[in-house]
Amino acid sequence: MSFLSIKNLHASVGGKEILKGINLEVGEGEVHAIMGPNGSGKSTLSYVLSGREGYDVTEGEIVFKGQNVLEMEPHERAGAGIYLAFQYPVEIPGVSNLTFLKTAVNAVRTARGQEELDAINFLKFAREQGNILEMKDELLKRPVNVGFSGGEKKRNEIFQMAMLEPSLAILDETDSGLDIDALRIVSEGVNKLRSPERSMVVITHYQRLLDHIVPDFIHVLADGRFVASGGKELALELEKEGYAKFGIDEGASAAA
Amino acid sequence: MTTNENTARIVDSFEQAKNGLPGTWLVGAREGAIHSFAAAGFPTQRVESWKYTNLNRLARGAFDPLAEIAAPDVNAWCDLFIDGCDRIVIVNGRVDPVHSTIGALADGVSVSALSDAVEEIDPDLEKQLGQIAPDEGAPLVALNTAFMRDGLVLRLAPGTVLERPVQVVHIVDSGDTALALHPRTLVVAGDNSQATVVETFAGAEGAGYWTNAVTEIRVGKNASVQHLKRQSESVAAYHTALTQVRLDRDARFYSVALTVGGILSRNEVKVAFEGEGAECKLAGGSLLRGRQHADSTTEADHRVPNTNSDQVFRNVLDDNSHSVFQGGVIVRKDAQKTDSSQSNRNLLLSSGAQADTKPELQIFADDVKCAHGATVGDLDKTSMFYLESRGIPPKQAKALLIEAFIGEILEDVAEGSARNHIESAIANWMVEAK
Repeated sequence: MSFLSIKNLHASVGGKEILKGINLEVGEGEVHAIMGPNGSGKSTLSYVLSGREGYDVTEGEIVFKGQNVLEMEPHERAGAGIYLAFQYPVEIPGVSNLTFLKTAVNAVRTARGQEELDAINFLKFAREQGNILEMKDELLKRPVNVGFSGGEKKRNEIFQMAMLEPSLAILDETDSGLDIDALRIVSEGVNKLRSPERSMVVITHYQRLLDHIVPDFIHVLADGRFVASGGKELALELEKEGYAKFGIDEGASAAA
Repeated sequence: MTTNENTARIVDSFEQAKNGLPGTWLVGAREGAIHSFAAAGFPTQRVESWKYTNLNRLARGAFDPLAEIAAPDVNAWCDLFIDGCDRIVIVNGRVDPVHSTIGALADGVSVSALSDAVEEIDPDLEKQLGQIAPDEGAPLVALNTAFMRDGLVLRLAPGTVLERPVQVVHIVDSGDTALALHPRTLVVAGDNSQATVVETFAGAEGAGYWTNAVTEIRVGKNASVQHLKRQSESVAAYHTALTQVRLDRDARFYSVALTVGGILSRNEVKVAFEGEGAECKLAGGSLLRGRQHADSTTEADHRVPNTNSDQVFRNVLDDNSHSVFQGGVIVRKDAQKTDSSQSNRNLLLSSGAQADTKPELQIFADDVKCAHGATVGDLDKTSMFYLESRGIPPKQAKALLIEAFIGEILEDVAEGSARNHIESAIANWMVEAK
């Protein structure tokens, strides 16, 4: 049985079809990269997987660990082990990062039939995971993402991932807006979270992220369909020859 | 009964009652006040400051200012008592000596029930009571003056610090009798003194009554007063209240007023800057559902140079509830270098809810900073999705966002039992949130 299986997925936003028949099989522990120019449907795919309102699936199916994902609410998907690291993390004034995370961690633990963490064990866990990502203690106490730099926000996304222990992590352009140092810290964090029980779908526009997070498979997305799939050598081809090799005119592509 | 007939009825009941009200030296003031109320009548929506709040039903209601109701079992209300603080408990308008507890106080600090304080001739009290919040132009204040019976009197001599908060708890549990309650609280903080005062209003579920409260606060030179108010009246009750504050030089006043109770309520806070260098922060708001109506009206009256005021009001509205914010700022001609800001945000949880917000700035000086802003909106969908995508169920996600929104009114209140008291009113409201 496949871990994640996407078959003939069509999805529209505001009546406009963005995904036009996606097929993807991700095995347990595998890391798949999805590359593509702006407007190819990368972010739409990540939102459809996590269940965002306004992203309508018109055809096809998504099955994750034997469950029909499309019938699940966003919080149920998280409970089942799906995690989305946002391209643009959301600021939530008035809710401290710790309160937010404690609520989230205990919600997914309850959904997974695990016991809730008490305040002491939660803090211990948060400190351990925070150290891996070089998260400053002060960032834990601040309101969620408020006043965080771009790099701190992305680091916070990976920190949340470490805390929520998903079995499928979708990283939506986690590299965008990061300088080299921040990219290194974030990628190292992601690599530490790789495990035989955890699959990842890494969505990126640029090849440079894949120097740090080396995928098992790469898929090239253009105009809502995969136009090429292969091993990590595909990234190097893209690096050398650009998306034009796959018949993609980057300048002409629509907005995301 | 028409409004006029009802006004006449109220005047009659005053004539019957006046000799039985506490403080013989107050009779003259009470008589003047009832005349002033009779002449003016209840405020109507024709008056600009009452534009959004209709008192017709209240003005026709046969609320009884005299009935003496046997005290209910006050133990049922103990969770309203803030741990470790001195308190005056007033039940159905009369002080309850059993549950009121005043511990050892520092020299120069005096805490008493109003009915006790006015029994003695006290020139110092005469100079303050009714002088901070005058009856003129304020019919409901006048009515309170006419009938006031109980409340808190807190006086701090210069340089004294109140170690623990003082709480006054008003409990109404009057069975079928529709009481009218006119509590009066007086706080006089001498120069360089410091105090925290908490006012709590609560009533039996479903009880119909009217609380018409007046709170007078004078803050001396370089003194600091924090005033917290929790209005958890019965949702069938009316609540009208004025807190009038006068600030001397370099005085500081911080207030938070949270409304969760009452079918119709009006909470007015007015601050007069009478000395340079004074500052105030007025925070407040409401959590409303059903057909509740809550009006927060403020006035920061900058009369002298170099004073600051900041107003932060947040309302959360479900069902068909209605909030009103009238944020007044007056900067008089001589009040140069005034720095005032004001923010009112309203969160609508239902399409039937309504928020009216009206900043009212009157600026007569030219070298001043006055900022204001207001928003009305629903829960942010992107924030909701972000929280849900982390496994938090929608109801809990909504609760986190609502608590964060209303929590902004507590930003400047230090951790402690007084803050917890306000937070628990928020938590109680959240329990029943959809």
